[in-house]
Amino acid sequence: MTYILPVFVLIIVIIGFIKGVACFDSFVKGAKDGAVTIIKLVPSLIGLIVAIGVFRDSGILEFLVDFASPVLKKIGINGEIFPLVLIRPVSGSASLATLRDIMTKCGADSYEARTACVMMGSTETIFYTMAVYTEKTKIRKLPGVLPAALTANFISAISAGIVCMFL
Amino acid sequence: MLNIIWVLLMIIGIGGSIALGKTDMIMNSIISSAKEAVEFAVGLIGIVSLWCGIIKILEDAGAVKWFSKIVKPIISSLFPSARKNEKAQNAIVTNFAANFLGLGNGATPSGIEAVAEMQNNIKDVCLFLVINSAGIQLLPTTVIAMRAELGASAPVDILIPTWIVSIVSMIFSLTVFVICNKLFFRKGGKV
Repeated sequence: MTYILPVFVLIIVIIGFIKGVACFDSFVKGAKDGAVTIIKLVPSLIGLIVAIGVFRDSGILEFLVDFASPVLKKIGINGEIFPLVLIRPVSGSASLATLRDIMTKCGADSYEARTACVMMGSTETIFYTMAVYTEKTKIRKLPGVLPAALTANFISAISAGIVCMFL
Repeated sequence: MLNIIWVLLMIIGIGGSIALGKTDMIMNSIISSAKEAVEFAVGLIGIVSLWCGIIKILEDAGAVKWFSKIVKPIISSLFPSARKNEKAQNAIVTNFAANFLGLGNGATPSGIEAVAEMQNNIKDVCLFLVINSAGIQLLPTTVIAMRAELGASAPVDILIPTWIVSIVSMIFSLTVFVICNKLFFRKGGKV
């Protein structure tokens, strides 16, 4: 596993060099975009991490998770990652904050954290996508999209739990 | 929607802690969370920027073009309304490439354009959104950056599980979509 990332980078740099790209200039341009994206996230992250922190420390989140756990276990979803399942389709920054909360609570290498990470990486903020992509058109009904996207969300939570037991 | 969720979290959280007499804990939590949020974001900047920079080299070398050569034949058969519409095809390809490579800002404009070009065929628009919702990514950079930042021993270890889960959930969502569509269009539903 450790060679995947270095090999990716090596291949890309070699391709860029062969194609005559001004590699360092391109790198700086791209890195700037990345930095700007994250910095723009800071205000909403502050708001959301505070809200999630408050909610967790009040003990209500634990109460809800304990309450829902038996049902969730039957369909194969870990109680700890349930908040992420709920928030993932709604908001990207809120799911980042939730994922961070799960990882700090359970430990970054724990089974729960790994499952949550896999789920995060294999799903999309579908409500955002639906709203923004169709904003400029007259389309108001999107038959089948929401059930399909929410199925993807649940299936990815369940299958992430299964895959992370073995890999 | 986030407006409602945020207000609920704050009211239930703070209200609950007052009711349960945990206000000292909440006070510390509010102050430390705000600081942690900034540290967390700063910690992400390094790896996310690094990857965006590397992938930009690939983009400038013509990656979207290569990607479109492979994907275009599939796109004309998936989206009938894009078959004779070069603009729609390009927008779809750019959108898929941007999502797949994690070109952050590239996906949204091309997605909007693709939907606008295909808007006369709701079925195609829906299929496009369903494929988008599966979120198949070569490298889930943000997640990897978070794992590194929060002290995972091997931050990239979630890569292969993420690919597997992406494909599995995409298969399920496409199946559900096809079933929903059959039901919907058999009923003669008007969109």
